[in-house]
Amino acid sequence: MVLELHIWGPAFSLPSIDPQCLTAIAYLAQALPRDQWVLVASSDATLSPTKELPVLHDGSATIGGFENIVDYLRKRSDGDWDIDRQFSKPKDRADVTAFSSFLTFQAHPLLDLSLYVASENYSKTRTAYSSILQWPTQYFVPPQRRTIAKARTEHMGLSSLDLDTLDEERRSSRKAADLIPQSLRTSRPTVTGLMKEKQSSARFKLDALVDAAFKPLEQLLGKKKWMLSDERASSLDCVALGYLSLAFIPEMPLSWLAEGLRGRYPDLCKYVEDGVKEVFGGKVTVEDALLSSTGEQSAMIQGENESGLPWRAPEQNLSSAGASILNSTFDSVPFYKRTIVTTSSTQPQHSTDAPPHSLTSTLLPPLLASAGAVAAIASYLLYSSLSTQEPEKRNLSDMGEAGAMFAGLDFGEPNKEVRVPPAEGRVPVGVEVDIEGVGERRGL
Amino acid sequence: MPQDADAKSEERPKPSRSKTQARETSPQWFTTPQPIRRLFDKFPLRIYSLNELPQRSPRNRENNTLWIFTTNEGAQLGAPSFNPGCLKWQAYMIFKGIDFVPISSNNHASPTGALPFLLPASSTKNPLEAVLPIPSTRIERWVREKKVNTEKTGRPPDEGLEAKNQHVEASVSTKQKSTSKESSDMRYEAYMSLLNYRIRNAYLYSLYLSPPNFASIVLPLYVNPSTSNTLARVALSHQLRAAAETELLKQSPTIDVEATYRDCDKAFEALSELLGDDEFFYGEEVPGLFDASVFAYTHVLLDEDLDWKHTRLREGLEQYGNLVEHQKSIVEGWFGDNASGRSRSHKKA
Repeated sequence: MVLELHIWGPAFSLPSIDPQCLTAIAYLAQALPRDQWVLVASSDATLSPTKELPVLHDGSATIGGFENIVDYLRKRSDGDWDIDRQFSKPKDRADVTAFSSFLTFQAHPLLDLSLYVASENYSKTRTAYSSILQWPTQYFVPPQRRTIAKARTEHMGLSSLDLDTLDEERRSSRKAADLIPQSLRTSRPTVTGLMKEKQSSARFKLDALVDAAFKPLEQLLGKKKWMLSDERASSLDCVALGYLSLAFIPEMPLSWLAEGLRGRYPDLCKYVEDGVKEVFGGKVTVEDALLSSTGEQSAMIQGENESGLPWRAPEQNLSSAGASILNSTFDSVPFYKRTIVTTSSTQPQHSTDAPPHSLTSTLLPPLLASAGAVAAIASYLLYSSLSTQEPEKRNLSDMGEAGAMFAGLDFGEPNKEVRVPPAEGRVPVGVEVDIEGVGERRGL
Repeated sequence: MPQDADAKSEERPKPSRSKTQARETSPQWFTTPQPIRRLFDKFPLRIYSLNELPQRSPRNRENNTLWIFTTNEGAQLGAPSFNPGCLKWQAYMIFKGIDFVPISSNNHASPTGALPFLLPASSTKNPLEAVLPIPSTRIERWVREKKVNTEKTGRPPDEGLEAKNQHVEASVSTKQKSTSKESSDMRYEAYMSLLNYRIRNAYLYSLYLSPPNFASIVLPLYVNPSTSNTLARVALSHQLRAAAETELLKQSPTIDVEATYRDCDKAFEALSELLGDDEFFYGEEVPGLFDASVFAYTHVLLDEDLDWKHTRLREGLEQYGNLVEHQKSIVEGWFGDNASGRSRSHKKA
């Protein structure tokens, strides 16, 4: 049985647009023999029990999420497909765990900011998405992912990267300006002027964030070929490649992330370049992954020749599109509870998630596809009406630009503070807010 | 002269009935008519004595107060808090030998919306000067600056403004020195992320979203002390659960329970490996912030007084003997027998 790895499709000459998917690709490419797995750029999160890609299909078993996949592969192969098994020292294993989690939680918000939140960059990301998604979904998926990214980075007080917020601010400042007599008015700031001003102040903070995320990694890497040894990659290298390649390789209009890496972490950059060549087999184009669905056989052959990855073209079916639209509709309907708690099956061969999944994909789709179109319009209207309200809320929450900026300089300190909303600041707290309070903060 | 008389009358605490001439100073051509002035000289008719301060006004102004989640008895005994975020800073301040009084409180009382926060002792010179509360994220810096200042001037930092400039300089220059080798280690941040994300996620899930634990720990400790109104209690518990849920959903579209617990186990394994055979993390002689952060979670999970119904996290942790030892030695060594918990005697409370 050939394993199928479903991922978000290729972009920016990388095999996937999503860091977790890149991580999973890197892992499978090194752990499994080439003929044991195929890579499918299905770009459809409904395939997964955890609603996120990557997802691994192994016969009836469906495993979502990188960590779960690694766990599953280890159990399925009795450790043969565990690329960390060579690191017998417990200290190394501990480092893999610690630095993987560090990267996931430190670098992910940076990618969110760079690829989704910053408006100039987002337009490029959206274009990349539209070439890998099939027809109706391309209108829903990118905004949806952008909303998630914004939510995830809200606490950093960097929404100024987002032009929508800027626009909102301008509108409110115009209201205030009407009260000032003509003779006393200063010239109204232009959009570009405002943007420059905001971005330069955000720049300090971004640089501090970049340093916080990459300095420990560069120290760990040292002059070695891989993170832990010269000989073989570990799963930490997969995670590092996944995140760093997406930070470093895409050419973005606002390139603080890539510039920061290039300027201050040359060793990491070299590491990424070499890693991408070796693990992903050089540049990947969208055509590699999405050849016409009819020529599946030829796609496979062609894919093998051109890139090092065993691509297989995804099946085009309207039903999955319908399902994903319906899902996104449900997500934006108030009072509708998503499936909050899923227990993923980590036991090989008997998956508890398979039955409900197959139910959705075989029984419902014909209905869903038509219902989806109607619901889509409703969700779009709802979404747009909701999204106009959002920026105002953000404006209030990140008041005190200067305070937040200076607080940002402090990211050298233990940065649990990075995670949490700047407490609805009556005290000059800036971004440094303790993590632990958060759960309670919202509630109590 | 009229001006002199005026100046004197202004200095008097109470307006007197004595006839002072011409109180109005600047425009000489305008004077208040005599009858009106006589009338107003009678006021105030009576001055009441000062009111007592309200019952709930701050008492321990001369002490540093740390506002944390704890029970009233716990606050008196200086017992460890049952909230990891609070316990971390409580332990840290004890490690650093700072005198403070713990006060039982809740998030509603905090200026930042979250506990803990620190209210430094007001200065002895001008006790009425307002002191600003220090949120948890600044406590470390505050402790550092206080230390630097006491070392340098031999006095607490809030005495005398002239020390202020020196103090700022000093805090900058000794920043690197005083943060010791603990935080300069590249692993510091990486392993800290295990605590702040992996372990915290599992803790949040296990405490708030697992119904047995919610009933046995959150309700009696967080919800019931806040209010006696049943409706408010229901609303509050709902809010708590929703907050924990949103927090977890930020990181992934679904909460994968198995994966959360598994990641947490791996995190404990890695931490246990990092600690090794040392008494404290990074081979320090005295515990530091990292020890405080680990202890905050391990103590809450291992505390006999907390009634964990769903014990998966505790069981996972108990496999790592050195982490359990670490927790025990800190409880016994630093939270020992007396109220302030600062004696290092190895007696049980």
